[in-house]
Amino acid sequence: MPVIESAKASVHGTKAAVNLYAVLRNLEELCRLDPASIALIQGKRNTIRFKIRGGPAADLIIAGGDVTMQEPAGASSIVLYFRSPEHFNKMIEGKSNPIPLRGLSRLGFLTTDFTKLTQRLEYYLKPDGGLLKDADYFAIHTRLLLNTAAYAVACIGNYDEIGRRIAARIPDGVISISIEESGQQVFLHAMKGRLQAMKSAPAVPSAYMVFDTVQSANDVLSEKADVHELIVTERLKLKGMLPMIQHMNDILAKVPQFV
Amino acid sequence: MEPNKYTNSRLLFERAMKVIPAGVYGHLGPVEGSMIPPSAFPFFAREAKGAYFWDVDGNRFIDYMCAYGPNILGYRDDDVDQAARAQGELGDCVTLPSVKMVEFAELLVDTVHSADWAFFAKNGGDVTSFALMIARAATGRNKAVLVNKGYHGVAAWTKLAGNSGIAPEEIANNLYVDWNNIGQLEALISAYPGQIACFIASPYFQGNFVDNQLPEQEYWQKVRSLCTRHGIVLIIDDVRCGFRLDLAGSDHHYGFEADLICFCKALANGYNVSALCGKDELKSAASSVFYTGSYWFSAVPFAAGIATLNKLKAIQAPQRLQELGSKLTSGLAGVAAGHGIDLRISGELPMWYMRIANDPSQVLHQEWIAACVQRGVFFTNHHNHFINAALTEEDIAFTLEVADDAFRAVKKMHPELEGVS
Repeated sequence: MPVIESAKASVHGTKAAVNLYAVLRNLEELCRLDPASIALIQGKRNTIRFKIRGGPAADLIIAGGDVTMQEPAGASSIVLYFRSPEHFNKMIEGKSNPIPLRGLSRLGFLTTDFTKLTQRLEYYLKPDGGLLKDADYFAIHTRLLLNTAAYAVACIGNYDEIGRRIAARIPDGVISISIEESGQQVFLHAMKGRLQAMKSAPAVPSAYMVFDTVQSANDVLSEKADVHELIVTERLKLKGMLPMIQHMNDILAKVPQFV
Repeated sequence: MEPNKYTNSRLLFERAMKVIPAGVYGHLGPVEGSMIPPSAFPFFAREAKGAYFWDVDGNRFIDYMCAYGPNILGYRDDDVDQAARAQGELGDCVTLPSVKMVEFAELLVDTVHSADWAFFAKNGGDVTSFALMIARAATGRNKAVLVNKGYHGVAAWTKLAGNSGIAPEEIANNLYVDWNNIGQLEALISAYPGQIACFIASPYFQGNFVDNQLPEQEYWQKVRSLCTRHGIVLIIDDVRCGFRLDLAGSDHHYGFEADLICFCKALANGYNVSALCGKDELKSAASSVFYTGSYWFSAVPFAAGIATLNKLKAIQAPQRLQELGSKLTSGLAGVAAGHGIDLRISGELPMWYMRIANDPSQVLHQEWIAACVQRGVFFTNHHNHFINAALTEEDIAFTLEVADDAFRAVKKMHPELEGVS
């Protein structure tokens, strides 16, 4: 995704990038895993363009029973405009509404099915204690949590002022972050100080961060576990070019500021 | 060879985790990147003597980390310990300093080529920070030039933007150049005229995870000349290298004179003392900075330091460490080559760095190091190692045997390597 120059040093700009590229992107995975979400997009075909003045942009494409996020390209059936990154962030918090520029005839989809989709996303990303005891819920929740963390690291490394200085220190290459138990694997590609999160590796990874179980991953990502203990007991295995992981962790520590 | 077991280390670590942040914090801890995977390493030592330590499970290790540098004569060296004991019977931490402080300063001034005076503290970071303050006091300038990926301790000014617990203001006066890059230093001097108080660097580049790099021909002479011309204080952080390359200081080894030179680690063979030595023209600035600590006048480490320096001179330690380092590293590279493995040796041999170059991710290197540790040779993954004078020919022979067996074990884990050599 493109880095918007004017948004680089802005907290709202970074937060908007995290909300769009890391949080909202989870709709891709959600619509493959959650039966209720799958049902909501069946037979639907829409491209929603998020256009944020002075901030990030993306197309959310709903077609063929899938949701994918990509860089804005070509025509879109719906264009949602935001006056600023702050405006977009308020929309994500449910405190503001977008300005529809195109697709007024499809507002019904936005106000019903798409709203329900985002509610399902919130359901999985903001669990109450009881839900976490449900194994299926827990698996999806953790999967989305790991994706959010990886994509948020990329956003913070590309947009936030300190994040960019940390990202510049990450040696070029690919970091693999995975969970042995579920097989989930996400990658962070560092190239000349630019970070890109992805679900398939563009090259053989140089550094590996491997959680043994979904529980271990969840414990670390939700800050319930002492990460040192997990490393020493090898429930979290680190290997390869560790400076990549150490610098990435400095960015990871900033994620709660933006999510 | 039967791999070590670490039952007691693990039990002790569980206890430590309950009452100590990270269990074992800092550079001796298992989560700082030098112990991969942690299961291959012991976490706690029971005792040490000469070139060895024994862990709490009774496993013996030939120790090539030397407590990350302090062990230069061998653990519990009889002469050093005797001098420390004798002073201990007289007094250690007292209201007034002892004669040993003056004697130790005199010995350092006699030994270190660029030293006109000596000041004592406890850790390397104490004296690198003091050196920075003296440079600022002497020049009235704020900025410091550091080498990218250099290490000068853990004080806030040594850290990087985004490191945990660091405010951007604490590092706002730092400027950075790449190692061996005179052009970048010249550019900074032009960009910040009259603002740079000091240039601080180790005598050669000892980055982790990368090959160590020696100074290029005339590098230090050019730096010296630039610093002199522009009134910049040249600080050599000799905390790690000090007395391993040259008893007169590593600046002397590379043919130049520092304005301030920082020592710790090998200074007293493990007794807790560090020293900053400097030129006469900075003595007044050093006096002007109020800088002290509760234990900085302790007499026992001074007595140990005097005994250490005298013994290092008597055994011509740098030459001995160089010979041992040469024999060991050429042996290791040879054993590796016998398995078709490219083991790269870099840096100065008394404190060599090594890296298996066949695998850029260094996972193969980590597996080999782990296999060596499990067989009784204590290396770490991505830090330079250290030679001590107690190491014997037999120890080197044993190390090479272990290295050979460890390569065999690694090749079993990697069938793709079986075809080579």
